[in-house]
Amino acid sequence: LFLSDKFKIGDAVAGGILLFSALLGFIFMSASFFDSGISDVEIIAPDYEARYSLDSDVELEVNGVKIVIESGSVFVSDSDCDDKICVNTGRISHAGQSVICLPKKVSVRIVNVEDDIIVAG
Amino acid sequence: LSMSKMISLSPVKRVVTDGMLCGTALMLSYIEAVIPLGALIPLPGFKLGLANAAIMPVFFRIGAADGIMVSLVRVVISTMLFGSAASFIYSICGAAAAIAVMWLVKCFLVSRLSYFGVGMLSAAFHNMAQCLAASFVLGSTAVFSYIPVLLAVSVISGSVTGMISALCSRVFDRRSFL
Repeated sequence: LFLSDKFKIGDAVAGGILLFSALLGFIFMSASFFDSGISDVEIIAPDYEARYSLDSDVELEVNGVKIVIESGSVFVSDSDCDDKICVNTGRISHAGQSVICLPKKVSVRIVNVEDDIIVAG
Repeated sequence: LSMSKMISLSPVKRVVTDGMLCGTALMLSYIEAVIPLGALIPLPGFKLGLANAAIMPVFFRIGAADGIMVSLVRVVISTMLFGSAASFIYSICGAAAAIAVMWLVKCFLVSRLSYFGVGMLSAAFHNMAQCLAASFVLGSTAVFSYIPVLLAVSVISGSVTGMISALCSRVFDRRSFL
């Protein structure tokens, strides 16, 4: 038997399974949206790891990536990278969300304070 | 007719066809590299995976070994042309995942799926493998928060590459082609 070039029921099933997994992922993630706990911003880069309160007002530059924390949200205002995906991601404000700059190896994530161990910065 | 058979080629024609489709895959990689996708869909690790549209017909019509070789050569050359050492890690992981999916489909699901399904599944696993690679490079699991949305968009991007593959596979059946 060989692979068909016409759409089959199995394709719809495969697509459905993928969309269902995506939906489960969204539900799992949004569970943390409603957590009323206090959130921190966790920043990880090569040779750098820090945490700031999401309620703080901080502007910092890590490995060429300018990160701004203000009024309960965090975003990347500018970056040295080529694709600017991190800048285009925009603001995030809920636990579980993240802004990533792959070329600069910088990850910014909002975490629930209860979740974690390391406190720095 | 909808069941497209493996095509048997003389060794020379096989090398020529593989080379030609590798060129097609590279051209598609180039198109993808010049589209400023990051501005439209800001998802770290997301690729349209257009090159896969040329890899799938090679894998399913000419041979699995041919598909693997064409994919490997495509990744190496496109990294040299448009990529970097860092992008090579993501590309090779993504390509390996896509090939693994094709292999599994070839072994177990070939009668139940078409190029559309294979396109969607390989796009999804390509993106997830890149996320996994990124989590190692970044030393953080933060990228995993993009998995749900990456899965959802890979259904669309995979359908598009699957459709192109299906058309490509039909071209193989034209007598004048080979």
